[in-house]
Amino acid sequence: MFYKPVQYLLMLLLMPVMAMAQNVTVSGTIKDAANGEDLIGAIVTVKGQTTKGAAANAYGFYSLTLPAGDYTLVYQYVGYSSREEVISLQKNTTLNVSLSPVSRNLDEVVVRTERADRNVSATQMSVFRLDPKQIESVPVLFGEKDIIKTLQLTPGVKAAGEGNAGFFVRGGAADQNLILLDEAPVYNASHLLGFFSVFNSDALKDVSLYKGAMPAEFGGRGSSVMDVKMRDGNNKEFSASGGIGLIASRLTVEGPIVKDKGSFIISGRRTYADLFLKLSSDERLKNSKLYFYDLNVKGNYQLSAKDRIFVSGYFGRDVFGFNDLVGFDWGNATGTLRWNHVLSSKIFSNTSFIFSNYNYRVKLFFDDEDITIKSSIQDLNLKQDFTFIPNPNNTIKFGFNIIHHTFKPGSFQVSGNSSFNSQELTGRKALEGAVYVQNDMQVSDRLGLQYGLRYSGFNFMGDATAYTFDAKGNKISERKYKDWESITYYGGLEPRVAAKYQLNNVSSVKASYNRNYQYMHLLSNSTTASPTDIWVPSSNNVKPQIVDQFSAGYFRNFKDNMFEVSVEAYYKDLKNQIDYKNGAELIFNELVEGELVYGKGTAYGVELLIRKQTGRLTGWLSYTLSRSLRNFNDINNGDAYPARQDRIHDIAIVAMYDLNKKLKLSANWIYYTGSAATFPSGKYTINGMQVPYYTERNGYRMPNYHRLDLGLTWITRKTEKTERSWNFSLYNAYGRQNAYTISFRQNEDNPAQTEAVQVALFTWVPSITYNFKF
Amino acid sequence: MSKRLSLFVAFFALIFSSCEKVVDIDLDDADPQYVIEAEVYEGVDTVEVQIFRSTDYYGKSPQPPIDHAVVILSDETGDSTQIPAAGQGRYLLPDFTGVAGRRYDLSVTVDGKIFTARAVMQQPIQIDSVTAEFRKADFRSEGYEVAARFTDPAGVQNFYRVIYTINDTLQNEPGDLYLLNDKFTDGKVMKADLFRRFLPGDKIEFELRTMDEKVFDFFTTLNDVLNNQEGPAPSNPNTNIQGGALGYFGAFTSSRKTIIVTD
Repeated sequence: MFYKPVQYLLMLLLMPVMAMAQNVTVSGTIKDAANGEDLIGAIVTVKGQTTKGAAANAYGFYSLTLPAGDYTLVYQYVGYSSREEVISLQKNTTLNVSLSPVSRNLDEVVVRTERADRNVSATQMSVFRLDPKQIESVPVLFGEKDIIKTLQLTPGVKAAGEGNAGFFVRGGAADQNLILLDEAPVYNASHLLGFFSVFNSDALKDVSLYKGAMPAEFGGRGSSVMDVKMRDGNNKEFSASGGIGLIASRLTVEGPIVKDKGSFIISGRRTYADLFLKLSSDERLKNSKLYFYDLNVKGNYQLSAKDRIFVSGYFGRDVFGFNDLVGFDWGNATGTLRWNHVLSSKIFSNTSFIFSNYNYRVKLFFDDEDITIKSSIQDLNLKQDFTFIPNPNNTIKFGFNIIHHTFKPGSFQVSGNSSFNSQELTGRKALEGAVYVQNDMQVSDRLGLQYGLRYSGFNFMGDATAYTFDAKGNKISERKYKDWESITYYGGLEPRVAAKYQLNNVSSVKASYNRNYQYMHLLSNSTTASPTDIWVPSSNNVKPQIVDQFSAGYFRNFKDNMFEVSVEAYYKDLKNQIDYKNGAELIFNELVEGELVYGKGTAYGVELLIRKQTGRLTGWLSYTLSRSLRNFNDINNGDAYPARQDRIHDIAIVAMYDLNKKLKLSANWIYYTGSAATFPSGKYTINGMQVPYYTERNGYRMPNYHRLDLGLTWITRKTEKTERSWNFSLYNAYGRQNAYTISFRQNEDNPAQTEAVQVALFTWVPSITYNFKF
Repeated sequence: MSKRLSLFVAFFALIFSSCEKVVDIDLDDADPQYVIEAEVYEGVDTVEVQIFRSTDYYGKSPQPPIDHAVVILSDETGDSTQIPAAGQGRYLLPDFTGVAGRRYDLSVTVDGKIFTARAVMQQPIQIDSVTAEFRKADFRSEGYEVAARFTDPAGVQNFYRVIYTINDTLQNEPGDLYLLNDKFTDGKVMKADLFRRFLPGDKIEFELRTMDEKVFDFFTTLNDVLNNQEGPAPSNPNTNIQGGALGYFGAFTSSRKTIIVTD
């Protein structure tokens, strides 16, 4: 009797694959004619039948299956001249195409994207795509263009603090963002305590931030995926570009390994605040160090018509040292080896081996002591992804991912005759894996569906010592586990579903649901990102976080895709959230799991985005109305309270205006109502000191925040191959003292009096950068 | 050690121009809470208990004292004494002998409420020596570094507080709270040094106190509230008093030593 439903189910699953007779496939790559870069998302359609088409994947590969016959194929990518190819398609054919960028006309500043109407026509919602070239003129702190800082100006994304590179997406925590650089996870994406992100945008090709509706190929974090792709490098000729600024300088060199077959790109950046320290007459400052550097390297080579390999690496480090007494350095190193293989005209495969390491090190020399404190987390990752395009209406992706995590939470080593004891915290290991399958299906002219399922699992294993605790957090027992012996296993299904219904050519409605498991958690003792924040795995004590998100929206384009407007609402349910007991000792604590308390959260909101993509004036206006709440039995007497990142109104306006061929103006204006904060509601004295008395958690608000940033780019020289320009920026142009922290303390002169003290970090911060390209 | 780390962070923050100013923040007025500070010392000393009510945050008048509470100190041997009120919120019991290793219980009954607390007096630790050594400028300016040394007993967890008086003025600002434990220094000679440099003629008195873990937890969370409000969410210090009062009940040992810096 259940024959019929099973039959329907089978048909639904296999429908995409049911072959149609006499179909032939044309496939190949779509690249940039000027430098050989893959054009991600470029589309190819049959002239006259725009509903039959294909899009190039992350490696520029496309596959279009049609009945045998003669066709005119149209290849397009916004910002490039479209190209037509007439073919007689009788058998599977390879057709590689290069598109030339349009020469920039003043009225035609175009942002390079796939389809001009993708805001309306793509099934994927809750995503913000950024072209690193577009943000060159968005003014940011210290003049260093920064993709994370720019993403903080988009709806649903909030900065973790003034100048902070940490961010919260749709009410989620700072550790719920998966940051990938060419598929390698980046654990600490900020330099200098958060004032700079680790991304040098000269080396980047594409940045997509998924705030919801995450495709099934991604997993591991609850709130977002920031997928950053590096450029491959110009495979036709050598080129160099860079900039010299007040705080940092950068240089990028790229060129062909073998013309049209392989290329490399090396991009580096370094700050030199410490060079100014060397000019000081103070001996202590002379011997001090303060710098960070980033180095991105990538090479790729086309081995054969069907095979291509990539090697990429990122090395970044922050170094701080004071007079040889204290040294503090930390950084990420990632490496990726990838192999693209075209299995058939319909099937594309990518195999990646990924290595990622994040560590910090503190060295202390004082009073004859020589102390080194270290901590690290290391991942080895094997990832296999297939893309199968059976016909123009279906793109099926499937694959698996296995990560081996090694955590070394802390080692404290002293040498010689010391008044301290060496210690080492127990290491931790885990194996995280996932398999997924997803189909992006064009059901009809109007209806698009993206449905997929991901199964993820996490095995917390030895060799390690595992502890158990009572309800108060006191240790009850401990047990040693051997190498690879399983301590706890977690796993679950993560459905990912999205639908789009096109109302007409210029508008559509979309809805999505997805579930994400997160097995790694960042324990942080402060609101600002600190390099000493520790990543801990799920364990016999810590359950994985589970985030369910529903979102729905209305999408409309105006004036022939010049304006993209979207209104999206979301609702997020967060389970197994982590917080700390009062006075929790997170640093160097073997029993840190006993300091944790668990609860749940909800976040919901509405996001409005109006984006202008073409013309002399480009930019966007973003408004978010949202709440983010938490509920823990052990906090706030079990009553729900606003999360720290709960900021109800959040407005950002980003505008870039081409005054003429040589001058470009830009401005940002940001306004947001204050984050939730815990302030006292009374005071008392202990040992003669005035102590603030707190009642509910996060029951107050920080003062409202707003600032204006201005920028000016002056192009002094521009030819086809070279460019020189000056960039001037002024952060916080009207110098508002925005509260960074508010603390409550007794008055210095009159201890009987208590007051609230505000610290503001930056008022006017001007910056000058000289940029060049040749 | 944490003082050094916090200093280099401070140096760091100094490079970035920042502005600090007093601001007007509207605050609620919570119901007044009972605040109890109670201390009993090893050896023959006066037991002192102070009981007050909290006030609203911006209030300028001193906190109102409670003089009508019934305060009883007892210990594990069954001995129990009432501590008489001495006016102005203080309750004093002179010539009380505190015994190291003994567990003490405090009970305060006031306005129909009962607050109880328990503290265990630790073994006394003596300051072995106090030294003054000349140092060239490093984090601090050139001058004499003054430090007290004491030996931490191995194999047991120890918790300390160092209180210092400079030229007869008790250093009692929130930033002077100085707490140590033996997490990294079990069994070693520990050093308490002051984060400033001194000149010849300066007189510095060190007092080393020991306490149990719960009282130490109170003082470290008190330190977080006073000196580290940048944490994710400040919260009232972890009190060892049951019943809903703020404050602490501590059983301390105390050792003092003085040095006058000479050339």
